Amino acid sequence: MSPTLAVFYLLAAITLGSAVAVVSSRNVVYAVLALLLSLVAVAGLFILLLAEFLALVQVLIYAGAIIIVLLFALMLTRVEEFARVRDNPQRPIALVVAGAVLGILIAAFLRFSPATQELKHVGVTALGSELFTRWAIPFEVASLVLLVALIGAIVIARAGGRE
Amino acid sequence: MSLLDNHLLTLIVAVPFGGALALIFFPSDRPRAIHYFARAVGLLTLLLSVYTFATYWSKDGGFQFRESYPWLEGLGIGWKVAVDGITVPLILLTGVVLPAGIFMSWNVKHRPKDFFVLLMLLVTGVLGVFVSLDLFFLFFFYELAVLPMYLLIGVWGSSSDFGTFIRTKEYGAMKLVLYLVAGSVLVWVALVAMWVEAGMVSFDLEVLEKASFSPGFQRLFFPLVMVGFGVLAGLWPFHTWSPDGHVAAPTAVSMLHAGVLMKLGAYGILRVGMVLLPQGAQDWMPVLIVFGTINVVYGAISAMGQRDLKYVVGYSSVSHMGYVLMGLATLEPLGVSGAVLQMFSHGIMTALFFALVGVIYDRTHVRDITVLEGLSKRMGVTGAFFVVAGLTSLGLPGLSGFVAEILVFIGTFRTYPLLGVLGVIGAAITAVYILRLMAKVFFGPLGDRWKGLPDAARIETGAMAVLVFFLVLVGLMPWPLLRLIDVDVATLLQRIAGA
Amino acid sequence: MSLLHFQVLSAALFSVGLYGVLARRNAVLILFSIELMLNAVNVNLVAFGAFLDPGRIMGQVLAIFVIIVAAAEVGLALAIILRVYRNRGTVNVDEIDLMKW
Repeated sequence: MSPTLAVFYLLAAITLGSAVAVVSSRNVVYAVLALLLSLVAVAGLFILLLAEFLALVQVLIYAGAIIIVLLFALMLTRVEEFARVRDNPQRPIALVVAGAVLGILIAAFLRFSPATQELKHVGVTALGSELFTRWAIPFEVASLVLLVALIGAIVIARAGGRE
Repeated sequence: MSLLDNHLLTLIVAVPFGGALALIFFPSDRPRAIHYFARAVGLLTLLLSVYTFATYWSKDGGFQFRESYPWLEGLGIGWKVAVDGITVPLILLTGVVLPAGIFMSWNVKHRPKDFFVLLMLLVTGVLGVFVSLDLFFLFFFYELAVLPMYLLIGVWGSSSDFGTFIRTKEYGAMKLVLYLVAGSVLVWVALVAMWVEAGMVSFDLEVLEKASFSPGFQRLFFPLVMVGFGVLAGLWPFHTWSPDGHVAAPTAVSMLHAGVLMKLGAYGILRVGMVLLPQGAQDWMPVLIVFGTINVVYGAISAMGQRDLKYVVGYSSVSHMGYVLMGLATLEPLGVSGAVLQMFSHGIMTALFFALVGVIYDRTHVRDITVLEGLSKRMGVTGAFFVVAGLTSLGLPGLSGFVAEILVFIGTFRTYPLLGVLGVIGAAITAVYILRLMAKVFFGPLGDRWKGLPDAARIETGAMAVLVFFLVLVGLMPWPLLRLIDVDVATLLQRIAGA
Repeated sequence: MSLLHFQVLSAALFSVGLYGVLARRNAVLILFSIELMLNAVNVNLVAFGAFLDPGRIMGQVLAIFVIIVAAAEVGLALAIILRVYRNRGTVNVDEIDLMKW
């Protein structure tokens, strides 16, 4: 087993293990921390795929900003539920559905096996130039999306709403 | 005019969408301005659809008003629109029913801005489906037409409560959306399958037409298309969302949904199923026509047993969509032409029915037919219009229902005579419940409760008169529509026969 | 380490997230699960891009857009959850049933 493969398995184990903790933990704080762990492990996977800028972005935005925002949300909506949460009785069906989706996806992936190439490192420069030339318009639209989301969030969450 | 012609279809989809966007910026505390603006948008859509019809009439048939702009070339998706003789009457239908519905919503007082925004989005979706030749956009607009329904019914709808029979509007909303979205999942699976099978090159209808799929593939995927679109068309046994959903919906929404949206389902079977999967269509049509016949008879019998006036109309809708499905399934020129004409005729008729029921409910606050008696003494205009709608639904010559139904029946008798007999029996049952309903609710002695009832308001009378006008016009002069429909139906059937 | 490894991992992560969305009752926890699903998609995209795309850049570009939209979505979703919490006093999705029949 090559070193990269071993690292992959380790990161995969961490990702999936903490993901399972996110969806099944009884303690909400544990769930957040597990999510953080999972996101950081995904950043590690990105590095394995030689996409280091994306790993950086992942840690900065996901593990950084989004986790903080989620923690704030938990803090502001806590009261009694903070310590223990009960899940709803449709857990078995959810398990079946998730299992079915997993099965279908893996079957599709096994059927569609294209010829792959060797991993090659592409630098941030190439990514940057792509984003600002060929993907310039979607990039600008994405910033608009962020702006609209920001304004929308402020409008929805402010105290003196009409209705 | 040439500039208009070149972008007519994009414009016709953009007008309601632009109207919705513009409405978002209106202040919510100016209801009069909101209503007037919505009516203006509705009338503009009517104008454009009439213009489309008139201009198309002067051309030779086939796909006209083409526009094609590539969008995601890697996936083969582009904004490609055109209309042919089958689509143009349906666009006219939408253009007529939309302003009628908007005018009928004159007394929507709770959040009219949001109501009209959602309504406009709905109509954008409908028109988008009709004009799209690109299957991706067709599906996108299909979803756009379904999703606003949840809010429209859940917030502005009405519940039915007859003691033992309770149907809340939230129930109707949820049921409708779940059924329709489930149907669209099936459609999407079929669409992606076709895209993959044709080499992942294009979502373009005309390109996929040329890619001939293997008979096994077609036999497997046509039922997905048939059931997926059939759910929206009210195909038995997937029709149960329709009575509950339409009854719970507010008047304009019922008018648009039963009148226009259910036709999207039949149109989908025609445009996507029969054109792209002709072999599969031929194999599965016997099933479709049997279910369609069950639609007719079962819907009619169910309508007979209803106590809520709106439920009678809802089941009658299901029954009459059965004629459309039967006609499509005959794969016979008269049958399919009859089906398309029935889409138009039934659309206007059911919009008129729901408008009338809306008027009655608004004046009496009751939909229970055991309580409503002799209304035409006080509501003469409403009664008269109801008679016209009722006679159309039972297929009286001189009204559009007759022309459509007789074409369907002739087509059915030529291909599946036994089912044709059942279809005619369904028409007879329709006559029974409609005439009985009219006699009980409108004619006969006036109930004491209804002594001081006002009739339909002038605005409502105007809107409904337009619908009546079209029912009579197409009944007496069907050939302008039929001329357009026949040409493209013949082309389509040749393509199926040649497969 | 082949494409299949990453595909299976992303499929598993997606399914775990899907289970979470269906089984959890706290709205914020449902949001966590949605983030898991989005991460799974990102892993898939970057993996495909790295192994298949000649320029190796498409996957990363698309993943960046996914992250951007996910950030916007989290912001809005939390604003809505806070609003609902203020109006209804709960974030338990089973108890937010105004539109339920």
